Amino acid sequence: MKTIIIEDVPSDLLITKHYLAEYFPQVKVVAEAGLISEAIPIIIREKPQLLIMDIEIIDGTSYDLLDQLQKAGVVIDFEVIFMTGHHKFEYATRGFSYSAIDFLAKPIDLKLFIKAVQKAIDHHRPLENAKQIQLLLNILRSEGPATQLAVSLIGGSGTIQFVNINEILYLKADDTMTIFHLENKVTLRSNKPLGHFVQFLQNDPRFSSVSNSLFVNAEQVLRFSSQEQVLTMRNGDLLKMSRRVGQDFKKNIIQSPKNAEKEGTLLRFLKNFFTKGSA
Amino acid sequence: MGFSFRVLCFVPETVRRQNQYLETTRCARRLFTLKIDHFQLPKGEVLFFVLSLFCMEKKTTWSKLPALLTALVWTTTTFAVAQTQQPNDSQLQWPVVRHTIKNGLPGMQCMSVFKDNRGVVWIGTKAGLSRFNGEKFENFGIKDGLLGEYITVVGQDPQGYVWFNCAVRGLMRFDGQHFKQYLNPSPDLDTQAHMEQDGTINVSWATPNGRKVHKLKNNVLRPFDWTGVPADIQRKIRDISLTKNKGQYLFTADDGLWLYKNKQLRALAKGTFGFCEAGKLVYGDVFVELRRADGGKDILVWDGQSLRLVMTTRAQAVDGKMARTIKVVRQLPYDYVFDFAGSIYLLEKNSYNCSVIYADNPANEVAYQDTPGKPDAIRYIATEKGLLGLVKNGFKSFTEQAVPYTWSVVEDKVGHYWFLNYEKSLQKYDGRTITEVTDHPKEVQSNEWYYHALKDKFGHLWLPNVHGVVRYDGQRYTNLLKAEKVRLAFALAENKAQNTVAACTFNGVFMIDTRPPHSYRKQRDTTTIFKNLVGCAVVSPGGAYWFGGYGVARYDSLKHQTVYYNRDNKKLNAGGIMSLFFDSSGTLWAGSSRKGLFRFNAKKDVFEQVFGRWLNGMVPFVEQLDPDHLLIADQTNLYAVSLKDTNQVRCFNQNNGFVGIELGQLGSFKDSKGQIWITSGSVLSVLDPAQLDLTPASLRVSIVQVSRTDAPPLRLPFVGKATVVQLPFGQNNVSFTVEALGEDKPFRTQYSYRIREVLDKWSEWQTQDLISLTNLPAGTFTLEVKARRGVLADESAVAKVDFEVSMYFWRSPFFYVYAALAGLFLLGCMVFLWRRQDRQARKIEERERQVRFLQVQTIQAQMNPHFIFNALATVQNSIVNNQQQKAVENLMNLSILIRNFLEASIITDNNESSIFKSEILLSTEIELIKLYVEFEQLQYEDRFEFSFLIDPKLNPDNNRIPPLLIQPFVENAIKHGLLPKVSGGKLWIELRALDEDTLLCTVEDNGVGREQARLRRQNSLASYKSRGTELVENRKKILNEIGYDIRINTSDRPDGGTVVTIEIGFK
Repeated sequence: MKTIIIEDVPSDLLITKHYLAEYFPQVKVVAEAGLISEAIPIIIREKPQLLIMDIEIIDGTSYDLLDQLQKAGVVIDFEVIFMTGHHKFEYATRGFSYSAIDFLAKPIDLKLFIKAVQKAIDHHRPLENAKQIQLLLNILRSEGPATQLAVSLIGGSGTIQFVNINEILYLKADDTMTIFHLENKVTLRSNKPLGHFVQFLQNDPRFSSVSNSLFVNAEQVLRFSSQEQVLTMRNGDLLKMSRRVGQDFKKNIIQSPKNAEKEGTLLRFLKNFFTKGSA
Repeated sequence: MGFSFRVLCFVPETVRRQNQYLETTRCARRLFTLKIDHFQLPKGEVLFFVLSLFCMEKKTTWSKLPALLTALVWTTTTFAVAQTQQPNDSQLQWPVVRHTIKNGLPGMQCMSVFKDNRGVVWIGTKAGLSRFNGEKFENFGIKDGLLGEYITVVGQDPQGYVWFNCAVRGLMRFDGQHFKQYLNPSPDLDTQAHMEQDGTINVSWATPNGRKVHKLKNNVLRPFDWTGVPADIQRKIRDISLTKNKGQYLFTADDGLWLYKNKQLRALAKGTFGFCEAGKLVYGDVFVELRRADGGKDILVWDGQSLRLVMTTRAQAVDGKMARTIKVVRQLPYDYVFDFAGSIYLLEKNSYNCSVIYADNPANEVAYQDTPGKPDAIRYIATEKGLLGLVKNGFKSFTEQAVPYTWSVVEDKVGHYWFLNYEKSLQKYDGRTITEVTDHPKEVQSNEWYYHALKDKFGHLWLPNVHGVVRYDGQRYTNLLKAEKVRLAFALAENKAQNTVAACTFNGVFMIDTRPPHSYRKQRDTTTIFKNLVGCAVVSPGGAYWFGGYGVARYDSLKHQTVYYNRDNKKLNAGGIMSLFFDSSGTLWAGSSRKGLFRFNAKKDVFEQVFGRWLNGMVPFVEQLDPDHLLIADQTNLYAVSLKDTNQVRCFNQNNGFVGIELGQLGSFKDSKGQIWITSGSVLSVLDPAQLDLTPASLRVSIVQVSRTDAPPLRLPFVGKATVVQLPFGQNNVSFTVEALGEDKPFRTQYSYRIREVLDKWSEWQTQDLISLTNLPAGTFTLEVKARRGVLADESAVAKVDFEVSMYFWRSPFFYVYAALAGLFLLGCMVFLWRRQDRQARKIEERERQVRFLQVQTIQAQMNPHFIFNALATVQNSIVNNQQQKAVENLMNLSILIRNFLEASIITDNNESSIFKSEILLSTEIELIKLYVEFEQLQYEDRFEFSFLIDPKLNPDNNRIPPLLIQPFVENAIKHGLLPKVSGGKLWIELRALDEDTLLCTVEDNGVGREQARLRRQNSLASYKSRGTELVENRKKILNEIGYDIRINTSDRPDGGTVVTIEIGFK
């Protein structure tokens, strides 16, 4: 398997190469690069099957690399293993969660590394892979909230389904899995726990947790009875909210930018005028 | 004088012989004040009278003889003039106003007329009832609530209700709004009704068995109390009449006149009697007529005590002509109008003057009530041919037939009046008859006498016509301006001192010598006044001429000086001057053709307008009534104005008897008796100022009717408590009809109104009698109305009506004000709520900020150097011991631990999202605790055992909690509970789900316990302080304020050690 490693930290490069040599003799590192500018011609020339790269390199990020590759007309049909020393919740890395792309955190845990490389070897799905990368790049390029979400479905081989986020009604925890309730009565079953989605989707103002097992798109709520603590969704589903909703959900709805727009220009002006006056 | 005699002696023999009813009375003195020339007695009867004086005077003494002789002489000397008199049919008459169906009456046959205490005249006709306010008729028929259309007016009761009678069906009571009906119990013919002073109504109707009489009192009809009247007489009764004495009634029966009083019946007279005036009272008196055998009638009066003869009448055909004879034998203290032989006569009060006031129109009833107002108020007479209004206030007039169209009047030296008629001949009036003057020679014969005549100081008449100024010296007519081309002298003025008459023509003035040979010269200059018509001229007391035309010119003929007053020099702001008049105080008045009246201000040498624009157009004349009063004329009214107080105004016009319309341009003429002759477009009038009552009568205003949209017109009652007029819901437009009543009602009354709280100011004066109010707000209002005659006079009292407008609030004119106020209030509320919300939001923000701060603090506390370096030392130890695998493993664990801490702190630091969103997954916290405990175990090998129990119901990947709530207690348990213990330490951590939202975490150790830990801390010099739990406690407080329900409970374990339970839930 033709592999290229893009890494500007020598020790990390050594460790990666060491692990590959030790555990995956079939993986053949054909080139190494320490700069994005260096890497692009190499990739175009070598046409690797696997790319292992650090996200932050001196002259750019791996997204820049992919972006430039795309612009250069290269089809990203190869497997990519991202590595980063950064924590998961930085904005850029959140894109990985949306596009269901795994990445390895440094220092590299050998077990996770083996798993990731093994997966790349086993599940070579160039088309799906390209789509996921496309989604990642889209998310990174656009400034607004992500519109699409890649959901890895249950069922062994880890099929990826792309979902329009605004079509999501709500997410329901089912033990360690998550059921996606979408518009038109479509349901998806993901192999990731609900907490996984909540982690990054909760930063989307549309979404809020109404109980430990329910995560709701507020735009798809038809009615909200704060007395009975029941939400009626657009598709007619009734969702029982837990007590915390009183604070969280309500607040979320009020703060949702869409609702703020509904207040109207005049009201907002007055509100601003008077609140500023009082401040 | 001391002697008395019987009045009987005055009564004609024929009468006396028939009746024994006359009572005696003492009236000797009155006898001598009688005007014998009106006292007509036949020759034989006068002789009889004289003789009877001697016969019947029982107390005659010779001392009284001279008086008796005087009486005898007086009687004989007047013998010749005392003759049967034809009724005075002089062509100069009291004015009579006639109203017919043309003016709005429902029918011509007026049966009954009555003037109520407010001055409203009610007319009962055969075609319905009519209400007359002096100007307009308003008619009522069956549809308005009348029982029938043949109506007579009964009267007004003390409460103010006006009663009517419908001959066949019954009585009706009217309050101004509704007719209340009282049906006749037995509908026989000929119902009569009379009202007593207390309002009781005597109703009677004819039956075959005589007249049945009932009393209607307090809405109850009871039979008349006939006690003392034999049944046979009861049956004979034909008519009943009231008297001014309560309980006293007169009856006519077939055989005579009866008086019923104190339950006793007494025969007053025998004969065939009938009641005049339908048995109603005339100033308290009852008039009866007695049919004589010779076909004539005697009119007698019952004054409550006695029955007296007033007059005898006879109408008989003589030589194919109807000869009417009226002998008045008794004066009455009031004017008495009566019908005789189909004409209407007036017997003037305290007089024997009896004259026809309207020929060939039988009268049915006269409104005699001396109702509020003036004695000279119009007297209404219901006749077969409409309603007549007789005015006796000093004005008299000729009929248009007698005097067709007089422009000028002049009196000659023998006291005859000359009338100069337009398109007619000259007329001469000797005080009784009018004759046409035709003896003037051909050269001055004309039908065009429309110029101002004059009598000069020699007593000669100047009678200008189209041929020139014609002078008549009693024998000959001479045309003085014969030689002139322009000789139409519109006005003449005599300057007696200079023996000159100024004749005003179309271009200049001729000064004519009043002495033969009547030489003249033409006064003419180039000023505008003399180039145009000089319309009037007057000579001042000082002898100067004043001419009026275009402006006014003052000409001093001695000095030949002329002073001009006109618009050009701003001394007189009027174009045309029609009249000039010097009053008795020497003030000059100038009447203009369009701008009203001006008064000359000698000090300023200018004319000043007086009485504003009230005077209606042209002012044709000003006359002096008495030293204090002027009579001012405009086109429609005559005003008697007090010079002392110009608010004291009487106003005469069509409404109150001055019948001249469009007064003549040549002004008035004051004769030698002080009478003022007034020409007009209709009749020639003469006013005797002595008879004129100059005290003004105030106007009375009332609101008659309400016109509402979507509702029928509503009359307002004049009796009873005023109610609030309701407007239909949603309607806020309404109009009220108002009217003014009073003897001095002007040709056009002015009204003003206001509505308190809506229109606080009185409105502009309007002559329209309809007050329209639009776009009223909802509520109850009072409309106040007042009236006035004009700027000259006082205002009337105020009439009021309450009305209520109800409608949707948004149609109220003030709705926008209210809406704006409500809007402001709402805005205020919103601002208040926003600010409160904002305060709350800021409070929460503040709390969240504190929580974050404390969380970061907790993390820092947990990631203290002590721990990190110990952990690194552990890794170092593994490397030193060449345990590569273990070293890598520990290193990985440490990196995960550090990452988790960092992540927690990063989320915490994110101020963008709510504090709920800085929660971490329970699985993260578990991993963190596990790694932490593992590290501690690595450092302190075998010091304690650790078990972590997770409720299977719980899914740590879904549950979320605030970061680092549990870990600090784990650290505390290890550091302060387990580490001081040498061995056998155990740590249990258990996580349970209490319910969907509530998580219970138990951290249990079997360490030294809290008490010992505290002692150890106290004894330690620089002991490690666990700030973590302290910070969690603080954080708990704040988190609980913003919605969490976190309870941390620390207790001693029974077997030694400590148990901490952390319950994480939500409110």
